Amino acid sequence: MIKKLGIIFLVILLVAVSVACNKDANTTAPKDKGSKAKDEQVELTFMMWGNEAHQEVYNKLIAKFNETHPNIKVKMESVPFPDYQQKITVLAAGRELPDVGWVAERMVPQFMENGILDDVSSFKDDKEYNMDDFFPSTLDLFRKDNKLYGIPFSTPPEVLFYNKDLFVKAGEKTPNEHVQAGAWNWEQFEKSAKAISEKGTYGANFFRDWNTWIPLLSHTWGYGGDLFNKDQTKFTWNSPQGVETLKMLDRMMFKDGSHPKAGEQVSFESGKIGMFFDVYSYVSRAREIKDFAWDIAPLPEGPKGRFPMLGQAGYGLFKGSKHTEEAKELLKFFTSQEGIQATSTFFVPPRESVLSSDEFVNQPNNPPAESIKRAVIDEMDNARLQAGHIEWQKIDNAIQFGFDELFGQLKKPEEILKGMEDKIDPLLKK
Amino acid sequence: MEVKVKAAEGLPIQKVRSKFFGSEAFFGYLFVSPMVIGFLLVMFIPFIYSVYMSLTDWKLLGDPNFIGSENYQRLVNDPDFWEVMKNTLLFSGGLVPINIMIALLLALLLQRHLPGIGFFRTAIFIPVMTSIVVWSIIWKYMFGTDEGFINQILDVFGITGPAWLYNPKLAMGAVIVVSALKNVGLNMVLFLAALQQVDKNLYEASYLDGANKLKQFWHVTLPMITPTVFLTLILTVIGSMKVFGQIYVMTGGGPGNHTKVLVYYIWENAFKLFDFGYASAIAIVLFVIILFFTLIQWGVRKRWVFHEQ
Repeated sequence: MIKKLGIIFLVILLVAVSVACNKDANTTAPKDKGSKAKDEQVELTFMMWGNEAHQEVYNKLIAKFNETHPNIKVKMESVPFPDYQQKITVLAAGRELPDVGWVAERMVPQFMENGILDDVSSFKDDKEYNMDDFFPSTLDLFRKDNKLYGIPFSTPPEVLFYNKDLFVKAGEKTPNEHVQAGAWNWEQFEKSAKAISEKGTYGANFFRDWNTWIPLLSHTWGYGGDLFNKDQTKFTWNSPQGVETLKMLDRMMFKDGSHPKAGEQVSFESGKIGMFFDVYSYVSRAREIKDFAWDIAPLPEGPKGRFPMLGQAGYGLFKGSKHTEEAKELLKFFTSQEGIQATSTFFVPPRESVLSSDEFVNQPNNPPAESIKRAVIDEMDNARLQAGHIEWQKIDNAIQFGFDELFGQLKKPEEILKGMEDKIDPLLKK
Repeated sequence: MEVKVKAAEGLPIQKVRSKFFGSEAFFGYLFVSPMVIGFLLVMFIPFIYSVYMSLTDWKLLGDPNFIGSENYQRLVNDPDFWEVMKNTLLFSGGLVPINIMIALLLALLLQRHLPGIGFFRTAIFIPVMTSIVVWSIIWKYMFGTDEGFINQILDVFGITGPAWLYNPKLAMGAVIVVSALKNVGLNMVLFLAALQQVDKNLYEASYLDGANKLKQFWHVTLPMITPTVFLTLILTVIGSMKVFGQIYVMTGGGPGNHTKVLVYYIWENAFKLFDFGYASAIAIVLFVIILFFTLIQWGVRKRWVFHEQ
């Protein structure tokens, strides 16, 4: 009997606890509403993966925003990039999405497919906002069925960061000198990389943390190949061009010793890498380098041309926001000419007026203005966006699997690419 | 309280029932309720919910659809899952004996009261208190291919070290060694405590009977510490099934799938591929495996644990 009573008691206690919790929620909610009615105080959450320097720029920007919108408090939250997509997805499942946030190119398909981004196409009706200032190609990623699901703030092409000192020390021509001579191609790149390598220093590095294989696509593109076919239904990297790309990496790693071997933890900032592939946004880190002289150059070109990868990041307005109108105001401000100008300290601006402005080029510790013009501004037209795919993570896993085989010298490039094709084609057919 | 209970004994039964809220049982339940409620809220309900999730195709975004046993059928036909199972067993099979043997060996070495012995005990225990992420990152650097500490040392002897974490034959071994060194201190301390409780008279008696050191260890020490061996075995096996941090930091499951273990595979499916239904199904399998091992170990312990009370 007592046992039964005990169980009943426990159930009652449980119910009481959960009711108490609910009660709490119920009582706080109207309170919020009450205060909102009084002075319209609203709090928005803005999520990003920026570092402290980025946050500083945003703090200033938000302070500026508050001059015109004193009632909107903006709370900024930073989540490390590798966890970002996961975090947003989990928050979406828990219906606790931020109001506004950064989104990167390869997250967008998943977010759009699941309808967690809100339409912001109304921005173009605002004359003052001047949507026509954006390069039209930068909006493609966010456009679907005549609606616009985000606004870009950063459209950096991949550039080559190079350690000038290592070139001078080896008595080699720098990439920019080769560019001026019109001879900066992939063969020359391989030769230069070999020439400046010695024990402990490497001519070039494509990878960060051994999983960013994507810059290698520029090589394939330069020879006329591609990762997928046009409508993304077939994996086409298993081609002579793709094989050549993997062979180049294999030569550099194991024959020339001009590329670090997998598992090596060595960064460009350490001064042990001659040439490093990254999007221009990496400049915010490079500016802090004090130990050696560096510069940026365009990527090497192939017979079919020079095709840097175009990175892209934008702002999304997340669905389910309690304050959609206020969030739109914030987003509009962030992507206005003023906002884009402020963030162009780090990011290649998608607005033509800002890209051509002097402020974008003349930042403290920036590379020379002519290098920025040559490697960034002039390359914008060549740059290609590698669009994501709804199954991108699985595709990335399969490609990563193949690169591990290359790193471990387990298989030939032809076999590796065949293995990728066998895994990826079924994913694309879905 | 005593007084109240005694007074209640003299009253008719109905009154006792009405006085349940003052009774000893009531306070008993009250005392266990924080634990029970905690268990229900953070363990049992989520567990039941994950069983339900494993029967759906929940992609985290959108609504879950009930799909019955489809996830489990997929699991049986998933070659990656079987490789992951094999890797998990390989990891446990490597880690458990290495860990237990080294721990026991260290405990035997360090049980003597020598000056400065505390330093060695502390040194071996410190990794246990270190964060697994910090520990793994440091080892990742040590295993670096050209500039790593280990290969630098090998270089001194004219040996070109391999790419430890990118060689499919070596990566798992490297992770096992790193994991063993991380946790060997905990088992060592448990063994040290057990060794110090062994009755010294037994050693004297066996010495008089002509037993040498090895025989003493085999016939006196080991039987006397079997409860501890048993405890460490359970803890280490279960711990090894749940390995994640080392793998996540050091290899990311690579090269290829060679170090992908069950928990990593669960994480990957849930938080990288957002396939919560499938991830839950794998988690249930892991639960059953751990349950199975625990039952076996509890079943056989009576036969080979020498003196459990």
